[in-house]
Amino acid sequence: MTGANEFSISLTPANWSFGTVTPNTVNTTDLTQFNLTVDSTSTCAINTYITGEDAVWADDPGAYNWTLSSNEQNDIKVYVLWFKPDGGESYIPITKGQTSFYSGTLGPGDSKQFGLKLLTPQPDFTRGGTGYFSVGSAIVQTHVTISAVAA
Amino acid sequence: MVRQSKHLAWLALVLLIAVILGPATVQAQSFSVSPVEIEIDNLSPGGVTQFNLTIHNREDVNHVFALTTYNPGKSERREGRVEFPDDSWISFSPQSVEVKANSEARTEVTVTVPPNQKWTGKDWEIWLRVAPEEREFLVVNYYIRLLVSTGEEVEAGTNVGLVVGIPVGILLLGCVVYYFYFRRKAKPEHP
Repeated sequence: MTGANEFSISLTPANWSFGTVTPNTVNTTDLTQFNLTVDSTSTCAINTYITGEDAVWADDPGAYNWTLSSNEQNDIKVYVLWFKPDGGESYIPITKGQTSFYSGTLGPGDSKQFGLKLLTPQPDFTRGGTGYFSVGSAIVQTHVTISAVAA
Repeated sequence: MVRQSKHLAWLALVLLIAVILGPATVQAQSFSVSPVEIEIDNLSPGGVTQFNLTIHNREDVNHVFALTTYNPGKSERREGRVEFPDDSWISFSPQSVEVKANSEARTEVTVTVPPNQKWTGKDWEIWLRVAPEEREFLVVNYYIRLLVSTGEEVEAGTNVGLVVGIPVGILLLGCVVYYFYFRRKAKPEHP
């Protein structure tokens, strides 16, 4: 049996708020908002992957949620999330399945900045021409996971 | 249902808002895992092997990490490796590890391959996932590559039938010998 090496990555900032959002709208962060760094103490290059998940009402996760889209289309209670590396050509959808975060390998000390784009769900109902989420003024939370494996 | 109706009632008055939010902190959980790749060669079907994974928590607070398996796609595996047939052959002890602040903890991984000829001469790959149980918006997960190659021979496993049958057989034989020997000896002789 053989085994070797060690690596670690840092992600900053750990938390982020899109602020107040309304139905069926696009919200973007700066492309340098988030940063992934392979710690210099790492002893090998890595491959990286990104995944997302459904968003849930923070107060009562079982009562209200948005499903993460798998086809870049939003719908009622379906939202879309993309990421774009700084300098990248286009936004890449984040799904529940594993997507390559960076096409090449990253070595010790390497760093990549990226931004996110959110398309909120279509309104749960419309009244007087205005769309509403049925949960109202609430906090909806999700997670974005970046995974690393030895290249 | 009651709860939803209540919300709908007062929300009709409010422009709907939703927020993806959390208190800002500096960085997602900082930890490392070693080794990052394990290669097991010549493991015979019927055999068992064990190794340790070390999780190093680099933060000033305790964290709990969960260990699971993940089957990578063909493009993610090492060349020549195929999918690990059954992730129930891999177990963690413990499967959930609490690592104190600025310290490390170990978990033992056991790989068991059933004793079957069809598992000989294989080159498998599966990933072991280490994930923090408390999560912020951005989450870091690590995978450890586990490469398992099996030998050409099936290891003879313990035969429960033989282990139980032999002592029982000896005991029965002893009873029979005892019965006939002493009964014959104790029987009065006919004149």
